[in-house]
Amino acid sequence: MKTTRITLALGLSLLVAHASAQGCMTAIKASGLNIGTSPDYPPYESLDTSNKIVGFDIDLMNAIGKQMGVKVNVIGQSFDGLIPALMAKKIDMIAAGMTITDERKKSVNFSLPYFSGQNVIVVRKENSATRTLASLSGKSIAVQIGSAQEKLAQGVKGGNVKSYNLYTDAALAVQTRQADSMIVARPVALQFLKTYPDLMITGMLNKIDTGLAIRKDCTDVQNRVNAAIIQIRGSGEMDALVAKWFK
Amino acid sequence: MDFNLIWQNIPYLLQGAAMTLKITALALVFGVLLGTLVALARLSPLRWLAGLALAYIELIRGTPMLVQIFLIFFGLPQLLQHPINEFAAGVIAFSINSSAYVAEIVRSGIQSIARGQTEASLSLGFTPTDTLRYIVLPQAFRRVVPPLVNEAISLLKNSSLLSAIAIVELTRAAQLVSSRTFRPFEMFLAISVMYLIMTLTLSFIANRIENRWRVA
Repeated sequence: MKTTRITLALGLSLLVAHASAQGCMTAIKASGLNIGTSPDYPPYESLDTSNKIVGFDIDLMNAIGKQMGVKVNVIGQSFDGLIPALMAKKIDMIAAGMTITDERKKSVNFSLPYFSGQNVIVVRKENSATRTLASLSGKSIAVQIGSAQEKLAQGVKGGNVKSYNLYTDAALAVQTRQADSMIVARPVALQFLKTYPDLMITGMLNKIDTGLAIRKDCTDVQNRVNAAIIQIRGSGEMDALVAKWFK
Repeated sequence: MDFNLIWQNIPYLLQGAAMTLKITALALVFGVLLGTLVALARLSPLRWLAGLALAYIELIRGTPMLVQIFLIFFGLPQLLQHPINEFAAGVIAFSINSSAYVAEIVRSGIQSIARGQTEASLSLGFTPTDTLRYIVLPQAFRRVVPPLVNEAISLLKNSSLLSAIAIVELTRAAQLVSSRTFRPFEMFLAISVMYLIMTLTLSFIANRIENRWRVA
């Protein structure tokens, strides 16, 4: 009797220990991997004509989900609310063209970088002389709120940072002369320059790495995702996706 | 809950609150001036003028505030071929929006003053303009203080919409702090209390004025 009870207790405690280490994966296997994104950032993610979320991040997540053997559910919301939503366990992961920064690393873990980009300065063509961060001093700099570019702009001495809800509002502000310049990731800039012929890329700034954000206590998920990324890179699938979305 | 986070950021949030109050106050002053003119136009015996005023009121009351803000901020510079800073755009959008609501408040105030007052005034030899200026409007304004304060309160709360055009008012200040700390809950709790303090103060002032200026 007693031995059975001890064995049971031991077995249970082992189970519990196992569950806490594998806790995140277990829940994800049961209910699917909930991906948070902000579908206003083509080519990473945007809404197509039938209001479906599509983009490089979404294709990549589906490939990763396949590797991990889990179902992927994509949840759209505002960019600046993504990390709070992850920390509040409303989502399991963020795939939103998110730049890996030291500041964000304090709150979340990142996967291996899956894409490398670069920040650029965008101005109206008559201001083509504005090429460096230093030359933004005394000028207004439009950025998206909560973005790595906002952080970069806040570091410009004498710069006047204007944070908008969407990077498209920031681009429109430059176009309508409401702001002098904009700091934005190059792939995104290349997308909207097609619609704004008066704007141009002048300065090339720092290189940025994009990663998937995962809760700090979910190292099991992080390991699985990293393994999947390595697999997808090796198979040539990653190159195919990059070619598809960033050509 | 991290109350330290709130205390650390109170000075920054207070700057945002100052901006909120500044825009609300300016918009209310311009709104009352413009709104009174629109109300008089609405009551004008000139049919075309009254119609124009009615169209203006319906147009503004029938479209969302955020849409009006974007129209002024992104549209006006293209029309003028000249940028306007967001503070000016915010005050203009809010004054126009407020004027439509104030116009209806003032009109009902004027119409609530007994016709006998006007008749008495005219028979005493006041001109129609003087009648309006010395007899009707002063009484009407006393009567409309409570609904005007309601308008001020709704302006103050709506001013959070100005965060969308990068004005750092109270809501934007909170969003900027949370986008840095990733802790929105504390910030939004703090600004709820701050908004409440401001609106309750307005209500309190309104009650005082109302008691002092009772119209018989």
